Amino acid sequence: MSPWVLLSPFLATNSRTYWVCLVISGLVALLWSGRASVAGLWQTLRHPSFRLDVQLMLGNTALKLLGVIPELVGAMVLARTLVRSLDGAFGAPNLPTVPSAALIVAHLLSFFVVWDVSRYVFHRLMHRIPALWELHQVHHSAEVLNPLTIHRTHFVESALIGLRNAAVTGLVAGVFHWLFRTHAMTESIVVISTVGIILNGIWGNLRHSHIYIRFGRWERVFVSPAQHQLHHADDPAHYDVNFGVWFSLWDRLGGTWKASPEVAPTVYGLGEARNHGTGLLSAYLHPLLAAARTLTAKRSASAAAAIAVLGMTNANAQDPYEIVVRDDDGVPAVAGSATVLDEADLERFEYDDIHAHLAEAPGVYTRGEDGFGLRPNIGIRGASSERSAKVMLLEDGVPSAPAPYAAPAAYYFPMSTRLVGLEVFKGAGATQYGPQTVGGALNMRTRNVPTSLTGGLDLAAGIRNTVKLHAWTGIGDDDSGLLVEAVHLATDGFKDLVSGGPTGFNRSEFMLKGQHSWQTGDTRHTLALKLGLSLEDSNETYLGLLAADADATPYARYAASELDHMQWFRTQAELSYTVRSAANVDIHTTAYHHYLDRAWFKLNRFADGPDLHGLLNGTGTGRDAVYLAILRGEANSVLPGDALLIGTNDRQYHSMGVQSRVRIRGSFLGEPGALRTELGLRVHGDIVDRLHTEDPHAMTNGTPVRTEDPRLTNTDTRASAIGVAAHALTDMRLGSWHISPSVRVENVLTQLNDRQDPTSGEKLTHRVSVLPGLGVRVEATPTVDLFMGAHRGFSPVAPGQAKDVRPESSWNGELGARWASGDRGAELVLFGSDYTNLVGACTFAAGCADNDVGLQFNGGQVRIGGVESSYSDNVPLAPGLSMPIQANYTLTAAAFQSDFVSAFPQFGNVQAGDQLPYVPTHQAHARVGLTSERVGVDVGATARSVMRDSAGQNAPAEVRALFTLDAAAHVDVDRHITLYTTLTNALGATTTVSLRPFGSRPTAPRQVMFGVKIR
Amino acid sequence: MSSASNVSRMLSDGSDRPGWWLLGALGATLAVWPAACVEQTDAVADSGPVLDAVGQNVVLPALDNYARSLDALQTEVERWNDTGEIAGARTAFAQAMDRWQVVDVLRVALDDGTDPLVLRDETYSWPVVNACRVDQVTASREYTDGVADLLVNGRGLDALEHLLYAGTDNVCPSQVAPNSDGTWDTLDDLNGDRAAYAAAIVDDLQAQEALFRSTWENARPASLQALIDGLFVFETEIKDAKVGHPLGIIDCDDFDCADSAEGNANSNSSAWIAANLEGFRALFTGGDGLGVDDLLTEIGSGDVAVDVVERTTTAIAMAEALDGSLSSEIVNNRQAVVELYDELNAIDELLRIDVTGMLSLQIPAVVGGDND
Repeated sequence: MSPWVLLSPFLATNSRTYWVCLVISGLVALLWSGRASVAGLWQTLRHPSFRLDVQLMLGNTALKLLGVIPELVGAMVLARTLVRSLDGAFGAPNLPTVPSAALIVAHLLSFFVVWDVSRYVFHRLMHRIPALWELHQVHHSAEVLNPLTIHRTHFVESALIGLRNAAVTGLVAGVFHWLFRTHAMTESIVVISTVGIILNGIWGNLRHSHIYIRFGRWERVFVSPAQHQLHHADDPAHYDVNFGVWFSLWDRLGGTWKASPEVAPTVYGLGEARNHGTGLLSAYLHPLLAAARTLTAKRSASAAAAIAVLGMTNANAQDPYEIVVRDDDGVPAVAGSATVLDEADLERFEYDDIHAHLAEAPGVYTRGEDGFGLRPNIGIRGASSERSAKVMLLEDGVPSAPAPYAAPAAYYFPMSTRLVGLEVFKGAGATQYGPQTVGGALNMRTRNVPTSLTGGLDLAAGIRNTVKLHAWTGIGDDDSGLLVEAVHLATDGFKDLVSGGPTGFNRSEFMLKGQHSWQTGDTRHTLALKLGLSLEDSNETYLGLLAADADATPYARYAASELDHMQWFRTQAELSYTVRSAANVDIHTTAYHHYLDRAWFKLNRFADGPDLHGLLNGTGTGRDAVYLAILRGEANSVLPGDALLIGTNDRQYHSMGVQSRVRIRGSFLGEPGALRTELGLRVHGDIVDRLHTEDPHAMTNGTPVRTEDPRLTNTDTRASAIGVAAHALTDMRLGSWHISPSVRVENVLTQLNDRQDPTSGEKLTHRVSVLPGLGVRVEATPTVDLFMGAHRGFSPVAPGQAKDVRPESSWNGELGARWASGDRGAELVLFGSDYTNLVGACTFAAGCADNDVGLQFNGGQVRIGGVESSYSDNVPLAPGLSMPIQANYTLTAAAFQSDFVSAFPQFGNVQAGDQLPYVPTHQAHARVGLTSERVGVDVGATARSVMRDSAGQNAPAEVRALFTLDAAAHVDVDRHITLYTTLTNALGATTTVSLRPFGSRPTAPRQVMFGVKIR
Repeated sequence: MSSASNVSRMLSDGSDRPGWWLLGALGATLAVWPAACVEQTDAVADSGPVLDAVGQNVVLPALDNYARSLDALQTEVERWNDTGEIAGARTAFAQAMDRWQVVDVLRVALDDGTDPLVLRDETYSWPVVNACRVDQVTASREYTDGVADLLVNGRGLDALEHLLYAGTDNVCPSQVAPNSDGTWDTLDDLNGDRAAYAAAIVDDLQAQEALFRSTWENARPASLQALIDGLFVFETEIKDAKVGHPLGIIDCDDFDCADSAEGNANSNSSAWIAANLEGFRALFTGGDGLGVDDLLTEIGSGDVAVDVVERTTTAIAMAEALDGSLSSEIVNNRQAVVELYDELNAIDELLRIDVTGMLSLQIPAVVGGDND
């Protein structure tokens, strides 16, 4: 070993005399005392006491390197013993997930505080116990104080310090490991080192110096260099004061605190009272002899002293679970960006898949599953797209999800064919439309009751026996009207079962609207009724393909999914009453009831085998090949564990309530119409009955056959929720400024009854959430608006969740500019969301096991940021000929901020920095067309970058990038008849769009449709 | 004046000259002091040499043993194929299985991306065994062109075990082949067919052994974490699947949990547990080289390492004391198996809390000295 290692006190970052610390200390001394500091240093370096400092530093360093003086030895053992003992006594604690940042801070604080307390106690004992005092005299005999004095200790004292360090470090590390089972908190170790270097540089080293710095009244909190210098003064009256290192609290509790005098002590050390000479050998030997003499004198005050000191160290408890909410980001807001697609936009490509329409809305992410959009997965600004449960879904302003509070997963979604408008509210709009306000709201507008006799017919047919029939007719006048609308869509599907079985669907929807208006004085009243019936019969499955199979035969379906089948119907009844007064007050009240009855019979799992998501995302080799052979129908199920459990998830949903909105227009600062206020109240009730059963089937010669084993009942519950929500929104115009404060209050009571376990009782939960917001918009120029806003995001906790599951909550902010001039428009928006708690909700679609379906999981802190940009134009090319253009691009960065392990499959084992699943970094859409008076042609392209199937950051993302191209053309034969054709996925992309629920799901193949519209 | 009195004088008058001499002596001592003897403190020890040693000192030696037994097995299976005499093949199979069971638990993710489970399944697919599939292949004679394309449970040691010990009937239900198509009834030399099938399996086992070997010769564990994860095969496979489940302690609500035990009624599957534990111990200790136990010792937790090794040795002795198939021992000698499980549980606790805890726990170094 090189003798240069003796210089480690200057080179080790954990040393107070690390050269960086010394440089910092020197600079502080120069700033504080100027030339005097240099003169004092010169005197110090020439003093014999300094030479002993150097000798002891080198000597102790050598003894440490030789192992005579231990450093932290035993800390690991202590930590381990502690973990085992605590585990044995209390078991492993099951604590809520703590964000890593909070954990680091807690670890740092605990370490710092416990360390500081232990130093005080130890130091006091060194003075109090005579034998230890004999050793400690080596340190106290310093007659000049300098940073190297820290190393001026007897080697036995250094050994005791090593043991104390090990004990304290092991204690803190052990307790933290037991509590959080955390891996090495490297960050906290780095922080400790960094903080240590800084503190030692600007403060710690000056304790042993001639630089006399007092802290004034702050000396009651922190130990100043002057206080410690007083402790070193050659005055017995001061030997036993100011034992602390950083905090003076311990001295104050122990009655040993003393403020520093104005004038610095002139003499340091112990004078003639010291027990050793000025040389190293003497400093090592004489204190040992003196301590031995003391011990043989059997003075036993030490124990009492120890107890007296130790007895006061149990104060200052910290709460490591406290999560610091970054709630000072800005003032919450309401006003925000929005995208509106009208009927012409929706008819351009005649999409029947809502996902395709939403490509025109920046900041909206979709995840395909069945290729038809039967059960859409829509997310906004990073909010999870899983079954569109985090987006507030509305149909004509009324919540349309099956059960918005108790089970918002969108198993019902209106057919986009019959929609006449889509409104996407991001950020600000969310506060008006709850309860889901984390991402935004999607309002789907249906056809209005006409004011004259009118009607329309849309007939289309395409490959794979795809047919569309859409008809509507209505009659009305200015006071009354009636509308009837029907739409039917059917296809053979594009997937191929080996058996040749069906993979398509039939969907039908019927809507009846009627309204009557009347006038009383200057007030107009409107009573409207809306009735709806929706039906679906689809041969849909959760089962996708192994990646290799998807590459080879992307549209294949495994034989194990042959029996899978979804069937549902939904009824809709809404009665609304609107009052519009000339006094600028509108009141719109709607009572609604929606009922959805669905049963999905589909393959869930093997009776005892690998989970299907993992199996189909694996290599397909080894034992996986055995199970894959069964799924493909190439091998029979023979063993009980090989049985296919095909289950019926039978659910009935009721969603009902009454909501009322009052809109008032008034004056603001004397300007008429400058104040618009909306007050809203909704009383809503949800019920969802779940009966989930599984029937064992054996794959037999390529077909699943029901075995004689009994049916399993996995879930038989009723979940319900009552939500009372109120909101207030005001828009105040002040010149070119609009200020829009808002607030929403959600008062939610949920309940879960488990019919299989009557003893579990009714799990009742009640939560009240206040969701403020604020938006500001400035009309910067006649064509440019600037806007910014922030609001509180919220998504309620579903019934029956574990107590530690919290509502999803976030702060969402945006800053944008909007330009509009004639047909041209552009928008650029920066958005950001800081989720204090992102919640993952388990559905079968998310890959959850039956027992976990409906459960929610805390996802901890998540940050999402991005940019939305869009541009639209209608470029005139010639008289009667124009080129409509629309393009948008969204950039999104979304990452978890904490480490945690979750049973929610899409989260899994999360590390801070992991990207969110199914949120693409890049997403773009563009379309361009040519439109004349009678003919129109449009081409649209959609692209998105890769996505993750589950949280992660290092491994490549699993879901590949996507690029699709669509085209459409129409000819107006006359003013009543239009012929059209559409070509979707013109390039025939077969890209996987999702790996959920189980395995690779392809994008829908090329589809050609020809249609005619008569109106 | 004597040197002793000189020292005394210097000490009493406070001269610092002896101190410099002392420092010189300490410096000289340090200069010749081996670095390895310097006390380790907080840093987690370097795992690189340990990872390097796993293949060379643990996996490849175990494969050598297994390969030798495969050679003997090949000879005996050929004899069975030629003469119809099966006894020698059964004996050779038992030995090969004993040797394989050591290799079976060496499942460590490698830095070339190899999935250790797949690598292992290619030789032995338990618990995904399917004797019916073996009977189907026997009847269809799909093995005649080699078995490499068969599913793993039609060509591994578990398939071979069925061929060696199966009766004259097949185990398939009536609605599937070889019963539904009647091919079973057409077999006129079942023993010969099985011997030919077995020979094809042994050929494939040798190919898989070569693949296993070349994989480990060209790769090493992906990380220390991968090695630690590999140790937990002890928990999932040995403790839970092989012992806990058949005992009815882990995930088994059936009355016939014991039937799920590894191996058929004629096998010496109790001994396989002992062989598994030997494999685990070798992975932990690094065989004759550096192992996880050395890492623990380096960070001051050598007692944990000793504890793990001692308890594993005890468990091996307990498993060796069992006799015959594990399923029969669970029925006839249940208390002994329960005691073995308890011992495995204790080892698992050491693994979970002490080994992983200590290897993942970092102790912050002392900051800023202490001597105030």
